[in-house]
Amino acid sequence: MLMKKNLLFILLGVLFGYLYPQPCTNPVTTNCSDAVAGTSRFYMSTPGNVDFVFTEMRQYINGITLSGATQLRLKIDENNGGNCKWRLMMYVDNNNTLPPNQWETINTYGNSGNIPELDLIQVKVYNGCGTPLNSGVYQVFAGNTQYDIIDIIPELPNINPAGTCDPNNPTNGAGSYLTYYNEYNFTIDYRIIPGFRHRPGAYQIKIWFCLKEVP
Amino acid sequence: MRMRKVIGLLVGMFLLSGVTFGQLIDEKNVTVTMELQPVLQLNMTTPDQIEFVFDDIKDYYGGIIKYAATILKVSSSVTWDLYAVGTSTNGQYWDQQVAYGSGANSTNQIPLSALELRQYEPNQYAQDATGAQVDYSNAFAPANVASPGINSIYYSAAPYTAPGADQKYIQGTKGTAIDALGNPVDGAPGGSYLISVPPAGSFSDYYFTIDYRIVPSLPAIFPNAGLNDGTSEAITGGLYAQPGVYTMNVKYILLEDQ
Repeated sequence: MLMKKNLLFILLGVLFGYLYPQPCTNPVTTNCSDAVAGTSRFYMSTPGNVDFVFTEMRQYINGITLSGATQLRLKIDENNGGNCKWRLMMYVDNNNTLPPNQWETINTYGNSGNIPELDLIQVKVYNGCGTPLNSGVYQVFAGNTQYDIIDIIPELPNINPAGTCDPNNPTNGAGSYLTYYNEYNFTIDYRIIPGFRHRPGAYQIKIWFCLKEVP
Repeated sequence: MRMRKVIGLLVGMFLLSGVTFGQLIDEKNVTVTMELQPVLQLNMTTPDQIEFVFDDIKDYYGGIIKYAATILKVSSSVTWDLYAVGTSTNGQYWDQQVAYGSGANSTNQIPLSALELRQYEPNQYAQDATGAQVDYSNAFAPANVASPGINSIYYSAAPYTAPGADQKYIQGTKGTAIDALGNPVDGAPGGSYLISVPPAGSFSDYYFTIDYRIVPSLPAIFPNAGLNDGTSEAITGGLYAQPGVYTMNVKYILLEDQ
């Protein structure tokens, strides 16, 4: 009977593990309130589509920047006083395109040039307190492969409570963008400078933002 | 009994799922779409009409040269070729607009290849070109030395059909070969004259000047007219070009490497 229960747990774990693509795995602690059924909230207040259309030479040379294209707002409530700690990261998903370093090709308009790679897109994350890792600096998915991660608020050994507002001690405890806007709000700019080596066409990737509790 | 087991399992799953979702984890995503539309821009600085007026004996003998009469500037997001093509109503001879007199032994069939071009800088991407001349970079031969086809313009009645590998291109040639590093060898890589830094004393791969020359000679048989393989197209048979006004059209075609 006990064996059957364990098997059931394993099956359910696998089942619910699939709900979140890697690397946003289920947390192992429950110090923070759930963002789905509980009172914590993870808002993305901007559209879910970010479109870059290159039609002119100056765009190929200078690139296109979409400022503030994504805005994330957090409201983190805790279950156990003082123990709620979270991590925020983003990772890139090319819909299992192979090789794994390339954008998913929707269509091509020519024959010359290479399929764009994942490290082409640049992202800049910032907020009023400068708490994101590498705040205000354009970064790329340097691993250049599917599910490569850029940490926004990394997993830290200690909890920095709301109101810290210190880039060296990023806020990662309970709090809300309603009361500590500059610590629980994150703005993301996107930039692509294609240059001249890519094959004309339409390409797609997905960028995931994962908020999860950490022990 | 069986139904109770099923209900029990469902209740268990529901409770367990509650435990799973009781943890702080959530995801959002954005779909990033990038559309790269091919851009090929050819900026040309040139007079609408380039006129050659032969009204002096020395012009007939020495020819007339129009230095840097055309400047070509390329910007392209894709690998590209550039060629010049002369054309006319029949695609082979100049169009005679006006005839001055009707002298015996004259002909109004002046070959389009009588027009010579000289380009700066030479074609850098013509690895698989097979013609005697891959471009128009040769210096004009002295006017008293016949050099059929060396600098003669490529001509065609179908100017938008790209020339074969045996014809002259200004940049690139027929073919899409790449080298071991993936770089094109039969077409210039995408880029722009705006940002390309040329070697000292040279132009970049995206900037060209074109000189024009016509040498009628006397009698006016246009001794330098010829095909790219060196076959002369000078007027023969004791004929000479009928005095008059003639026109032809020169097109510069920028296209994706093909």
